This record gives sequence, structure tokens and C-alpha cells, in this order.
Amino acid sequence: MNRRTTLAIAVAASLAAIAASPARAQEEIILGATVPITGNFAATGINYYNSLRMAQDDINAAGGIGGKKVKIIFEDSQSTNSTAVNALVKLVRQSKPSLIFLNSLSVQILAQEQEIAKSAVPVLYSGALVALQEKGNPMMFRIRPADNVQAGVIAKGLADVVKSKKPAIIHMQDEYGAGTAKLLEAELAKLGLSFVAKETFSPRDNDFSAQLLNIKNSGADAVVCVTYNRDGALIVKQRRSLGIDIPFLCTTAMFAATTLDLVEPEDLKNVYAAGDVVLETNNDKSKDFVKRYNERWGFKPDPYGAAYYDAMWMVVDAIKANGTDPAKLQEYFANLQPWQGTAQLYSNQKNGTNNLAHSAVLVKFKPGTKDFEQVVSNTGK
Amino acid sequence: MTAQIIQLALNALAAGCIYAVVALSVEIAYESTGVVNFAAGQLVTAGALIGLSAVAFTKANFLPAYLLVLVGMSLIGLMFLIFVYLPLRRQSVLTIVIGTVGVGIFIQNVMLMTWGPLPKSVRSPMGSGALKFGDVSVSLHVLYVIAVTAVLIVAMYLLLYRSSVGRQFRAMAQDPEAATLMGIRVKALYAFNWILVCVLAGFAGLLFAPMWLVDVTSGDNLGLKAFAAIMIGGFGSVPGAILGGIIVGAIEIFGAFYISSNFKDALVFASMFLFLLVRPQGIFGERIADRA
Amino acid sequence: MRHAQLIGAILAVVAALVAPRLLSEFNLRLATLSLHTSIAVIGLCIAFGWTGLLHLGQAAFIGIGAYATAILSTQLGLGFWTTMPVALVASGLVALCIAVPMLRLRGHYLALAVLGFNVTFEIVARNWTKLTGGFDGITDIPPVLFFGIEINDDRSYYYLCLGFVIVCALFALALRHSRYGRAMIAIRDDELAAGTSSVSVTRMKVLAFVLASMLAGLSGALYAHHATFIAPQDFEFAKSVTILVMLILGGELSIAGAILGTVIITFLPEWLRFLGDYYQAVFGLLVLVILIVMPNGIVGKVKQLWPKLTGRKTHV
Repeated sequence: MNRRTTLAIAVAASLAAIAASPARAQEEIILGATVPITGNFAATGINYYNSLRMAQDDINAAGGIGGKKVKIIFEDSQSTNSTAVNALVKLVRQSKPSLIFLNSLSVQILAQEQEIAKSAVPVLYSGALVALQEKGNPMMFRIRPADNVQAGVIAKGLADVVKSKKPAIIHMQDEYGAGTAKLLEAELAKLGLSFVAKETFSPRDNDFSAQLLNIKNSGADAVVCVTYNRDGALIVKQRRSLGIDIPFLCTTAMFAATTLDLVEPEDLKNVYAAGDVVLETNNDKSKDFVKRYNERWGFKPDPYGAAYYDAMWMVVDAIKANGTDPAKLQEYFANLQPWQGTAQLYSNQKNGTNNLAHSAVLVKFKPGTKDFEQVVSNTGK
Repeated sequence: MTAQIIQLALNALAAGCIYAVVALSVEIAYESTGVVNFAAGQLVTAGALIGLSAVAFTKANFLPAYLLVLVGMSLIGLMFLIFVYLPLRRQSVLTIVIGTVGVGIFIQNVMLMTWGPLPKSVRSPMGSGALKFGDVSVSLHVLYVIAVTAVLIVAMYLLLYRSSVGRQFRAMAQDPEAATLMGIRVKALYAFNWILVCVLAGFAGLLFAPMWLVDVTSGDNLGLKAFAAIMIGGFGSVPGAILGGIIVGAIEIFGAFYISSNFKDALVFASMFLFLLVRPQGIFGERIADRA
Repeated sequence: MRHAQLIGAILAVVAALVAPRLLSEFNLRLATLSLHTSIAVIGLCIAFGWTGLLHLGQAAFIGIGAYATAILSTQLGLGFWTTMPVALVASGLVALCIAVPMLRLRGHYLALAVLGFNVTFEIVARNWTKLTGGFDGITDIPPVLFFGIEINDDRSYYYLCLGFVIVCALFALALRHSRYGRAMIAIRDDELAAGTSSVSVTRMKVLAFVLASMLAGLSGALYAHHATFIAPQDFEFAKSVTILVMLILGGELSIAGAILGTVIITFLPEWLRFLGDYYQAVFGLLVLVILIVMPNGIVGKVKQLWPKLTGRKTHV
């Protein structure tokens, strides 16, 4: 390749970039979303990337909003904080959306927070770190229960269901794992309990035998297991092969269909999982969502995806009621009246957190199957 | 307690074998061309994912499936040779090293588009059975990993030190110009080199996936551990790479067991420093001295 | 050629001065990012480009600078002009401590040892929660005050960074043409000869390594006050590799190359976003294409093409 062809390619690429830049058609309602599409966190993003695209198509197939089509502009937030901020800045300054969906990675959202405050565009996010609501940013609304709701359900399960006296914990070494561990310690302290063993692992770890044997040797009678899907699946598998059969109370990733695909029914013996909701049985809307999602994408959705699907339909109602002005949309969510979605009964309780989702459940896997039943529920007060 | 230590040692050995095979791949590329291959992790993932599809395609007929992986990885090696290595051969080694960074980004994202980001489980030719000795449980796949690694090591030894190809190979590594004068077909040997590098990485992928599941970023960490293994074992030494891999596996698992699971990765790199300070040439030292 | 370089430099500075008037807000942010990152790349140019130390840990030193200024300004309320020099000294001191044992190593050993330091730094930053805020990082890092005026918009911050880049580039150029710079190049070209010609090889290597790390620290301080938020994952070793890619792609191991390479690697993936899901793969491919078409980097290619462009014969 010579210089001229290189130059030609560069020119063609920039022309294509200009052509592809969103020419704002009047009849479109523009929304934005930052999603980890590539990079280390792509697996965490796939569910809401799919759900948002599906909701967009559903809405447009049903005639859009007041005759206008909805268009979500997706920007990849990759796995670094500065790329996540780049993606948000690009959306806010170039696409000028009425509202933006952010992802579930709390640290990325912390990095984006200042820019959100500056932009004055409302955002719907699912990062569950409690520190996020403590920012008190009026533009930010959380569409999934915060980590303390999940921690509350797990603590209740430990105390009431498995009647643990000596619980242990194994958690991911990141803001989610360490944050949840801290919340759980506080919850357990109220019950007069504390962890007899605390083990951690790194995001890309493969072998958990050392941690699991340490837990076994501590004499623990139950284990809390704060994980994502790949590591969660590996832990319940390796625990089985090490012959550790005390109850394992796992976090939401464990009963996501994408995790269950990775394990055998026998791996789930005496395993519990806390999560937002059991989509397969929650209500007619959620059953329909699971069915259609599975048909379109070839695997079942998890509650993350459902939250974004709901959020998109809430935005439809918000725009119908208040129009597309960002400030008006912010008002809608600041005063959100109870709204039933596939995953949650959303509402703004006006307690300064701007949390819209409040309930979580704990399920137990039925012996020898991947089916589960609800054993604890917290509908939120 | 003894049972637990044996259990951990077995798991450490299995992990160590994987690191050793990746390290072997990195080591061969370095020894013959001086290139530190930053795409090693992505090549390992490629092996695992191609394996996944091949096993599905051949309906779990493992011999043809493995052959498909062999062919696939060889093609990647040839493509690297033709599109990256040969055009850059006359440049500084570092330019090629940066080339491997570009290759890594490219392969990773092509895999992301092909297989998606979700983790997947891969079947082992040994099935999912396990042997029990009292409190020690060892899966057939772990034994298989250890056996295949041993076979690979012996095969590499015979190939590099006991065959005429190996002699030519080492002659090329020492001095490509002189090797050309001696009538060695250097280009064919380069092709052989990069195919070998990719096939070894692919094998590491086939071995780790049934134990640890696979997604498009699985190999990244293995690549990093392989670098640590080589540092400990010594650059430029094939036995060093293997021993280094096994030591890294042991430090990780026993470090997490006896010291702290918080700092087990830090322990690996701390020991790496220690080795560097005490014995900068690694356990086995560098035969080809001072590559910059 | 000399005149051409001078004219080129002046043109570049003028272009950089007027750029904020022409760039969209998004591109301005990317330009600001490139500016403060390029300071770390200039640092790498000193350590690797001139002295031949393959330093694959710049991200850790960016991190040390960023954490130093973030901790001091959020916890003690100190201003940027106090914390920034501390950030420089902190990264320099850490570099000094690890330089002495590590610089005995050569080539790839050094590279991978520093890479190991980078990974360890990340782990420590994650776990030393009291000091670093752990995984949640440090939020609300205050803006820089410049003679009492808050620099909190992108345009002013761009000019602040541009000022620092010009100062660092001039410093590096002065160093390059000083006794020290010549000694460094001598070390890169032939350590044995440099050793016999009474230049203290070790002292020069330590100097280059420490200077490189201090520039990284400065880059980190500017990053922290620009992002207003830092977390351990911002300083992953992958970033160190990216910084090396920037230097090599820019070319010729030169200051101009360092800055140009940073700009390209910062902008390229962002500009490719229109390709949707494919853009990162295309980015990897383009890095390869640039390397193959311009194996000496962009600056190298320009130098090679210069006689053809001007129709004059020059001796480079």
C-alpha cells in the first residue's frame, strides 16, 4: 500500500464518519445509551444492549411515540473510566439526547457523575453501589435495587432460612464485591453475627480451591458468594468437586440464565441466589418478555436486561406526559408514580436517593434441577 | 490437612501446566525472533473458542475437532507471518512487538463479534468424570492436562534439540544471516516458528477451557502469568519457561491458602522481583545473551 | 531540514493555540486528554527512546502522581500548585527506589519487571482503602486554580495542559542536546563504549528513569484534576502498553513523534465509533497498517518523504 491509497482510505473513512453522524431528523426522538460493548466488561453489557434494542424496535413497531420514531444512540463505554466519560460527552454534546441510559458498572458511573451534573440531562442507571445515591445528583435515577436491598435479603436468608451461626464470605475483589461485603457485615452485626472467614478473588481468577478450603477449615456453616456469572459458575462447580456441601447464598448473577447454562443441576445442590426478581414467574409482562427475548437473541434475559426494557417503556410514558425536554423528563422521574414493569413496581419514594426499584428476592434451587423457588422476598417499604 | 495440601498441589499443577504451555509459546517466539508476543493471551483464547466451535461442528468427535483447531491456529500463524512479520522483519524488534499488540486487539475483537461476550463451557475429551482418593478429588480432565503438557514438553524437546529442523531453527535464532549463507531456508523456518507459536497457544486454550470456562478475555490473564513464568524461569530457556509456569501456579494457590487471597497476584509479581534481584538471569539463565 | 523542523514546530504550536476555537466540545475533550497523556509519552521517550530502557510501567507512575494530588487536594484541601510538585516528587522518589535494583536488568527483563511493578501498584491501590478509597476511587477532586481563577471548563484546561506540554517538550529538547542527553544516546547505542568513555552509565540510566517517571507523575496530576475522579483501573498495565504504542507509532523516538502518536491513538478509536460494533477490530487493524506502511512511525515517514515533497535533496 502506498501513501496515496492510505490517504484515500483516511479521507474515505472521515467522509463516512461525517455521513454517519446523526443528522437529526425532526420526526425522531433521540435517546442515548453508554454500554460496554467491547472490552473486559462486554459480558455485563450484553443483556441491556439487547433489551434496549428490543424495546426500541417494539416501540417503533407499535407506531413510536405520538407518531415519532425513537432512536437510541449507543456509545461503547469499553472497560476504562475515561472511555466511559468520552462516550457520555460524545452523546451529550453531539447527539443531544433527551435522556441517557448508563450501564451497571458503578465506578464508571462515578467517573461520569460530574459530566452528568454539567449536562443537565436525566440518566437512568443500574450501578448498585450505595455511594452513587450519596452523590445526591438530581439527574440520576437508579432502575435496579441498590446493593443494600440485595444484602438485606441475603442477611435475612442467612438468619431465617439456613439459620447460620457461622457464616463465611467469598467475594470478587472489586467495588461490587467489597461494597456488598461491607453492607452484609453491617446487616449481620445487627443480628449479632460476623463472618468467620473472608476470602476474595480477582476478576480473572480461575481456581478457587484455596479460598474454598480456607472457608471449609474455618468451620463455616454457610457461605455468601458475591460474584458475576463466570466466576459464580466456577465457584459452585469447584465447591462440589471439593465436597463442600454447606449452603451457598449467591448474588443475582447465579440465577441468570446465562450462568445456569454453565453449570450442571448437581452443582446447584444447596445453592440459593438473591436477585431482583424471578422473571419467568413474576407477571404476564415478564413471561412475555422472557419468551420474546429468548426468541430474538437465543438466550434468556436476566433482571438487568428487564430493568432496561422497563425503563425504556417508562420513558415512553414520560415523553407522552411531559414531552422531550430533558428538564421535564427529569421532573417525571423525580415524581414517578407507581409503575408496574416486568421486573419491578417502580416508584420514586422521594427519600433523596432517587432509587426507583425497591424489591429483591432470595430463591433456592430445587434438588437435581435448575429450577428454583422463592424463599425470601423483600418488597421494599 | 495432608489431603488438602495434595488437593491444592494438584490444582496448582494443573494451573501451572497451562501457564507453562503459554510460556512455552511466548518463549519460542522470543528465542527464535526476539519478539515478545503481546498477543499470546488472545491466541490462547482463540484456541479455546475455535475448539468450542470445532467440537460442536464435529459433534464431539475430538480427534477431527482438535485437527481443525490445529489447522485454524496454523492459519493464524501463517497470516501473522505474511501480513505482519515478513513486512516488518527488517525493522527493529520493537516495531514487531507493537505489531503483536495490534494483532491482539484485532483478534480479540474479531472473536467478540464471532462468539459474543458471554462465557461458555467447553467439553473435555475425558468427559466430566472425577477420581476420588479419600478427601482428594481430581477430575479426569486435570490428569489429561498434566499428561498432554508432559507430551508437549517432550515433543518440543525432541523437535528443538534432537531433529535437524531443530538444529536449523537454533542456528537461525543465533544468526539469521549466517543461517541463510549456510543454505537454511530462513523463510520456511520463520513460517514453522509462527505456526508453532500459535499452535502451542491454541493447545493451552484447548486445555484450560474445559476446566475454567471461556470468554473472549479469558486468555489475557494467562498471557500475563506466562510473562511472570518466563521471568522466574529465565528468558531464553525452554525448561525455565515450564518450571516458571508451575512455580507461578504454586505461588498463586498456596499464597491464597496460606497468606491472603487479597494479595495473591501481588505475591506472584513480588516473587518475580525477588527472583530478578537474586538471580536476574532466572533459574536457567539466558543462552542468547543480552537481547535489548 | 533544521529550518523545516523549526517552522513545523511553530506551525504546530499555532495550530494547537487556535484549535479550541475550531474543535467541537467532544473533540476538545479528546485533545485535552491527548495533551496530558503526551507528557507521559515524552517521559517514555527520554527513558526508552534515548536511553534504551524499555519502561513498561508508565501507567503506575501516572497513578502515583494522580493519587498524590487527589489525596492531598481532597483530604488536606491543598491547591494544585502545591500538590502538583508533590506528585512529581512522589513519582520520582518511587522511581528512584525501584530504579537502583532494577536497572541492573536489561531489555525485556527490565520491561517485564516494571510491568510487574505496575500490576502490583494496581493491587495495592485497590486494597489500601484508607488512603486510596479502594475500588470506589477518589471523587470530587477540586479544579485547578490559576491566579485565583477556577479552571473548570474544557477550553481553559486545554490551554493549561498545552502550557505544560510546551514546557515539557522544551525541557526534553534541552536535555536531548545537553551533555546528559548525548550520554543517554550513547548508552542506548552502545552501552559498552559509553561505559568506557567515562560516562557513568548507571547514573544516567537512573536519571532517565526518574525523569520519565516524574513526567508520568505530572501527567497523572493533570489527569486527576481533569477527570475529577480516579480509580485503580485507570492505571492498569494495559495503559502502559498503550503509551508504548503511542511512542512507537509517532515514530523516530522523538518528541514530535511522542505527541503525534498520542494524538492519533487517542482520537483514532473515538473517530471509528461510527463503525459500530466493529470499531475496535478496525482500530487494531489500522495500528498494524500504520506500522507496516510507516515502520519508522509517522515522523519517520515524513522525514523519508520530505525530499520528494520539496524536490530538494537533504541529508538526514
